[in-house]
Amino acid sequence: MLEIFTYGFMQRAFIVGNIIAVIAALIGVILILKRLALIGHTLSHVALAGVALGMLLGVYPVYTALIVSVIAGLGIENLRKKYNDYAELSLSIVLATGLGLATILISLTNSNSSIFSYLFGSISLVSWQDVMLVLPMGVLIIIIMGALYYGFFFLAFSEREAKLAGIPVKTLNILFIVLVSITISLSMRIVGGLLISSLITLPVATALQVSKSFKGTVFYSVLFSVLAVNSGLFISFYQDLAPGGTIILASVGYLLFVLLFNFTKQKVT
Amino acid sequence: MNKVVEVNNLFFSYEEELILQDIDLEIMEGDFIAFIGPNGSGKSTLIKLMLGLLKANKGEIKLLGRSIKKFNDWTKVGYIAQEVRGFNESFPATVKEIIASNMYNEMGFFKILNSDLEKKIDQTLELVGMLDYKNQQIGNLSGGQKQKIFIARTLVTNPDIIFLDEPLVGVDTESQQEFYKLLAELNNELDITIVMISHDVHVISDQANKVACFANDSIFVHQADGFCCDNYFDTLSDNQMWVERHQHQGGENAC
Repeated sequence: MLEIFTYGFMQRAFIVGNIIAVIAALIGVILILKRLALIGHTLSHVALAGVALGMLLGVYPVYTALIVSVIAGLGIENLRKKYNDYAELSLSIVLATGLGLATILISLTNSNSSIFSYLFGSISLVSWQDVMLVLPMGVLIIIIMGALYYGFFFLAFSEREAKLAGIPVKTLNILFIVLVSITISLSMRIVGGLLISSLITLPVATALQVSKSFKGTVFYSVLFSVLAVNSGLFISFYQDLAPGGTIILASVGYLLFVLLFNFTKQKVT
Repeated sequence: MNKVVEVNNLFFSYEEELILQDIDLEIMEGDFIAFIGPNGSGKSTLIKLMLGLLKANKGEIKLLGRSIKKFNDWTKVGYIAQEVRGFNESFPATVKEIIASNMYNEMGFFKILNSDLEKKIDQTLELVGMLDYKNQQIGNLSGGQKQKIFIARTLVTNPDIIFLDEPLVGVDTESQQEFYKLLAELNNELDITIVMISHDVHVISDQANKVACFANDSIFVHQADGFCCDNYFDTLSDNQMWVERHQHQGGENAC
């Protein structure tokens, strides 16, 4: 066995990392096709406020991040209806609120080093408590996304037409935003709040270069996401770097590789 | 013959502007009714009201015998919008996936395709003559082909009525003829009621059995047979001329 797998903390990091990779990609495909990619960015800042709140109250921070980001997610969905033509405005409003709260709460906690691990991710700090939370939640998200596959597809393609086809658009939208919020909170531990939105978007951006079907886009998004997380974890371990950074740069690497590959293929043909 | 759509005493206004005033309209099973009239005369608005996308200020709409407020059997109703509206050309979706999405309510707990549903997709694509394009990306098809796919998506749930809102804008003449042929088949052979907005008065009055002219907040319904579209043809862009010409011809069954 490779040395990296003999360490308990790395085993935990790989379990959590791979589940996060799969759910971030599944959520990411729908978010990007709905043109709401920035929701990830917004909710991660709000989740940060949740982490700081947890630390302040002495509660496991991922729990508070979960609660706070689900509330914010529902807020976004509500505001998105109010500012129908300016959906991104609802994101700016929630982002500002989340970041403002996070700044104040962080300055109240006096534990800057722990906050740091939630900003940039950490592999050595992934606990069994994290695994026991991420594993069932992750599996649940995968089952829900699989079960409602065509519903989410139609929602992303055209909300109005989905409504006319008798699809429960409102329920699916609310369910989806809750799943996004949960995914973001769970991901903070390993990728970090500042970088999770990149893990949601980059593998999908890469997949869109490769696939012409929805099924293919989902498949390649998961593939590139899993590849990025695993190569990022390897580099993080051997080079002693923050995993958030190595994972994201690995996904940028895969995107550039695919872009270059497509470019050369076009030149040749 | 059953009434598929019933509109009684309907009023609708956008903010202060009255768009539809005291509208009564019946659409019977098997009708092919064309909505024609100048821009802003309320054609699309009425379709949106019939589909429950807008709420009337006053009056009642019944779709397939049920009040639109309580209507929920959307598999029986098809709607095809102008292709250009809100359609992302680079959306990664194949023809098969687009059609499958409409069978959401026929799928089981897991909203994925089984072999029966897959067979139904093939049959529907065959009907519209697009089976060869099943695995193509939707954005790569021509305007006419896309509209056939959207028709197929609607047909896959065996609808009783299909609403089309100017479906042939930006579609070449040859594809338009094919499209009308397909609509005639659906109307004659499958007995699907068709409601279609069109600016192409010449063609549509040949295809439809009824023509509803929208003018000055009101509607006048004619039998398409003998409908003197030439008189209307030049007046389409001018609401006032439209109304005067119509009054000149004397209301119902003007020709």
